[in-house]
Amino acid sequence: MADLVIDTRTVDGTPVLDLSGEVDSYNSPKLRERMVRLIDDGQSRLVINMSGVDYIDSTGLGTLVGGLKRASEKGGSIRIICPNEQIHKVFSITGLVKVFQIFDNEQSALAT
Amino acid sequence: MGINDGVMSDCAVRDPDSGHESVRDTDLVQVRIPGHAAYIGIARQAVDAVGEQMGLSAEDRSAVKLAVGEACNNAVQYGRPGDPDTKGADLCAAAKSRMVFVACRLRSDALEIDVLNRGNGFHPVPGVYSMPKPEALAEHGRGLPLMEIIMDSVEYSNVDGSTLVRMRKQVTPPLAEPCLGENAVTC
Repeated sequence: MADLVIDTRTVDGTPVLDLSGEVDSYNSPKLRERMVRLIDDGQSRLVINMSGVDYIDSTGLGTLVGGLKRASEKGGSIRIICPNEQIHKVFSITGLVKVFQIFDNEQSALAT
Repeated sequence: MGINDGVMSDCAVRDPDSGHESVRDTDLVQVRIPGHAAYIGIARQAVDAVGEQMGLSAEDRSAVKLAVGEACNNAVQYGRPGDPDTKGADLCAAAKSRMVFVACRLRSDALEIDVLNRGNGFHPVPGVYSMPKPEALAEHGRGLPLMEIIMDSVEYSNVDGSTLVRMRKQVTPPLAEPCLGENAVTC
């Protein structure tokens, strides 16, 4: 069973969630829980680093959309770092490249 | 029609020159997983291994893995109504209550994948059906449209009270062997 590891760090006051593994229907609740906890604690401007993600499905995408909606309600945002071409393609196919701010690297994501 | 259609009794063919066994059209690889999200990754990995052996490109393998994952998600989520809640911790109960069958049929021009679950499933329209696309900020409903976009064909049918999703990914013709050696003139 492939796992999803989530490490949280703060860079210049912005929480960065480093994901590695698979964001699928089994692992997504873990991501949802982590995002909700941060947003409800007042840290609603999140950066999700998907550099270590090698698989995401529609449940994972839906979880990120749910996080974005929750963050937006609190005046925040979710920026995504996604250098992996295959993962980026899933965002493109589903039209979510227009919903999320997606960056190739951390420097660009944090500079916005 | 059943999940075992297409099974051949002697799948492997021995190459008289190399002595190696090779697959031939309609070889079948099957995986059966408990109807719980925890096991879907196993089905994905199994199908990916088949795709790798067939020589699918990295892009096609990613597409196949995603499509199988989505079909299994639906099979698990919409499996036989009335079964125990498979989101609970009791994986054994889940395993006994629902199973998901995944079969990869290796054809000369395509990888054909069946995902079948017991029960009425999600009641797709039989045949080829285009699912409505979700709203931009919807949290659900992207799975089936994704499958239909990334695979070359997706068909839905009901088989003896079970739901069958059959998907195909065409095999791109293999590239010619590269020329090696400074004296090579023609390939």
